[in-house]
Amino acid sequence: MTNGTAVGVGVVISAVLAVALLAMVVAARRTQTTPTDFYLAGRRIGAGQNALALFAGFILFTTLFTMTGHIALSGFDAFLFSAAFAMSWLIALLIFAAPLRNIGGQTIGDVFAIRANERTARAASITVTLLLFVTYTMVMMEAGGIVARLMFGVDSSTGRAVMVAGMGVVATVVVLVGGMLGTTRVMVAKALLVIAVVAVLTVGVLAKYRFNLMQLLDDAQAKAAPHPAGFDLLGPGREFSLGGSPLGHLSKLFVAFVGHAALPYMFMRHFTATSGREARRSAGWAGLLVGGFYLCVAVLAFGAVGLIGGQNIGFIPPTRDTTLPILADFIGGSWLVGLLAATALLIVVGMLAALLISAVTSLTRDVHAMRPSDPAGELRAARRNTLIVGLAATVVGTLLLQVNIHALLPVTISFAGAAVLPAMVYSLFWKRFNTAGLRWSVFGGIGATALVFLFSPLMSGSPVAILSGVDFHLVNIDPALLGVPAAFLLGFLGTIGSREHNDAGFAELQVRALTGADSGAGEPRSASTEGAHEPGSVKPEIQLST
Amino acid sequence: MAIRNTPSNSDRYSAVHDSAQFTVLRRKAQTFTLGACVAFVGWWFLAILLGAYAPSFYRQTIVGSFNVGLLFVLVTFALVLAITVAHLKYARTTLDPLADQIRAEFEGDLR
Repeated sequence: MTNGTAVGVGVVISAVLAVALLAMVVAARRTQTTPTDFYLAGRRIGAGQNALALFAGFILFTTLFTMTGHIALSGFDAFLFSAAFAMSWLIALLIFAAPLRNIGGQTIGDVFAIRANERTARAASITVTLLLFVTYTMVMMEAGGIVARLMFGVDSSTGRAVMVAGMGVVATVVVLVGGMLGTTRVMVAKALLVIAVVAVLTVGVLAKYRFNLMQLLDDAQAKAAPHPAGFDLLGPGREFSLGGSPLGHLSKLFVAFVGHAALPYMFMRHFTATSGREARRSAGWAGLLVGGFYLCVAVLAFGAVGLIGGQNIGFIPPTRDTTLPILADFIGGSWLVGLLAATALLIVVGMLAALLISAVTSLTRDVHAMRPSDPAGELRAARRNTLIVGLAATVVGTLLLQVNIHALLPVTISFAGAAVLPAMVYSLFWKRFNTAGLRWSVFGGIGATALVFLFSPLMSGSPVAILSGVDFHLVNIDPALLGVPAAFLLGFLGTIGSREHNDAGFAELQVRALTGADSGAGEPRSASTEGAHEPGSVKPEIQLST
Repeated sequence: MAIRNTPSNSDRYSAVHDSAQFTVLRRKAQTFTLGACVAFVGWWFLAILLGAYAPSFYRQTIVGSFNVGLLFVLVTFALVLAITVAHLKYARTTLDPLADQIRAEFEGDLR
């Protein structure tokens, strides 16, 4: 499928995209005079663009390529898994989007700090954001290596390393020069390209079946690669039967659902909207885009099985990433494969940039929030941090290409579910919640998740494990199945174990979250004073009542 | 905005928080959120537990290769659409006017 023509087309489209996007990124530099301009594009992103950028933040190499192969190979169980991600958007919409934008912070630390001790809130925010940045970025860079081999035919490990390093540098430049506005433009372009490619492929597949979905399903069922245990493609079992217990796949279905909405770099996108209402609309539309996207992916996967045959599209898990390029070749030939290659490249670079700006924002904002306001110095620090973090991540990610780290993907989502979701839900809804509860739910959630991860098949004893040579796994589940309940419990116990509480902080948080008062939306703001007026830039007073 | 978080400002937040208007807004918002969460979390647990422990229920044919399991996944996607649309509409028509009123009074008082 990746012949010379396809690679040539991919390189040309990628080069054109790179020039166009870098021009847009450079144009975005002019708009940055305050830290908020840099972190959040001055909160000037409208609902439509923000929805596309949110959608793009969801599109990983795995979301598109691996899921197509996964559904083609594991059928129903994988299709159900894809629905978990669509469901997760309801959490983002109902609990996070509008309240968090209304509160008007720049990091999750700004939200925590309204109610809890400032140092603890900032430490929790930095720890969570950086932890998830590191694990997720490493997975994205690994995906970059796969794109290089799969879509651009780069077989040598040196060649792949050079290409991945290049993606890391480009992402760093995007953030350094364009800030959040530049990153958003790259993400919007990525969303449009992904939507276009998936739409073309879906229509191509459906046209082969004269838009008869029942015939498509019958064909897929008939031509599926046989399963060792005899499970059919469209019934449950191919994943649920793994490891002798349905608990393994069940835990994946739970973790994707609770964890995905709680990734800190996704919160950044709620903060960039012009108001809570726009944040709500953008999260709603993005969720619907994801739902439509996965229905199309299912059509592509089942269509690939039916049209090309389950035996011919990578019928073991390690090669399932090839399903989509094989299908693209079948539907549109080298041109479509080349377009898909450029799309894959933009998917990775966009993700790297989105992750980088979330890490830089937390690292800079959560540190500077504890100091006297100095917008100019903070902006300089943000750019310096971008350079340091971006280049360090590029070096580490390139070196780690030799290691099997794909298991870090579910681990990252587990961490988000355990470390962020409980603390956020308590912060927004529980009056009694306090500093100790925050500390216990965030750090306890991380600890509990790490512990389960250590003894899960993601660490040892399975083909996807990080340490594939040894086997000391005890439980066959994704970590957050235990990590999320543990974090809720620890947050509860920590809270009631401490007499501190901040009723005024809770009142302020709820009033701001529900009404948008003090969110800065709709106020005339001059660029020179904006930074000083940002919520969170004045240290909240903690009231201790003992 | 510049004077926020002073003690008097936090008294003002507490006053709004205790007001009848805000109590209505909070009750409406939280009732909707809770109801929707119970519905979609409940549905999701039902859908995945059936897949894990009642696979033969999901394998029942409806028409051709289309079975009960696929129907349940499609209903899941439909539920995402339905709750999203319902929430956006409810927030726009019911919650936003209440929030606007409270906010206008709150910020008007500040000036």
